Amino acid sequence: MLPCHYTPLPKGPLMTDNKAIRVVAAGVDASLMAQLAQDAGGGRVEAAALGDMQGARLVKKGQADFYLGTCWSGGGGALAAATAILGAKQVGIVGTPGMVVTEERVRTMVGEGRIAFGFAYEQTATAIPLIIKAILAHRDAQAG
Amino acid sequence: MSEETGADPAVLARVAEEFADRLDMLQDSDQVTMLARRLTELSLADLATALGLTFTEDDSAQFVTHLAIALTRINRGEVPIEPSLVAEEEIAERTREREAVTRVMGDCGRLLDRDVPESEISYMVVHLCGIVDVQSPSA
Repeated sequence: MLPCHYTPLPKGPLMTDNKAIRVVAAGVDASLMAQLAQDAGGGRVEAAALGDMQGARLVKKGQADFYLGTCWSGGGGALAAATAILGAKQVGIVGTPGMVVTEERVRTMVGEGRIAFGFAYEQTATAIPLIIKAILAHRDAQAG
Repeated sequence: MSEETGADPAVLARVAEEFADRLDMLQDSDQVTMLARRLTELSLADLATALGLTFTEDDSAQFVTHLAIALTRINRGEVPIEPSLVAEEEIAERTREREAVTRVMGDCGRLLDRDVPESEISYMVVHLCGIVDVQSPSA
């Protein structure tokens, strides 16, 4: 069976820990994405798999901090809802099948203050640790 | 596929209602053109009938978004998206779904006055196959 995002989604806002960095994951195999984000965060990240519109709205309302989105191409549905709800300046594509995810690109986008990141499904395992690492480093730098 | 050639009006109406919020959002943010939106609705109605599927927001949101964005990309004459070997491998044996999408995109291409690239068709097929797998009795 092809991987997909059609796992049952939890109802209602999940983002409860104000100290943790709250990440919502949407897209192909969103549950795996959320798990990878949480694992990469080493206890500093709380992640949940949600539908794309629901996830972007949580970020918009300040109930989540960052949005991760995938689709098969990285350029289709990965960030469409986040772009509509958060605005184009808040989102960034970090990878597509023709564009490797690099630490430098991720760090730059996080440094620019972008809060939603999209990439191709096949890049999930490489992109998410890089994004979480960059977010944590940025937070640490801001905290001094 | 067009309204004239027989997308089931009831299926078309159900699809348009089911995805109205999503397509409104995409159109309002200028990510999807009006023509691409209508072609998305017609394509979904055609594929639903041809493959015996019921597209819902719960299981088909990503496919619908992808379809609308892809048709807009073609409508606007933008550069086709790069192919993915991973996606191609996933759908190598899925001739039924590829034939259905290819036929529907042939109709869309005529209405858009542009050919729909194979790479775009492949991404549509891989999304569609995820839904077919979920809705199949053995899932």
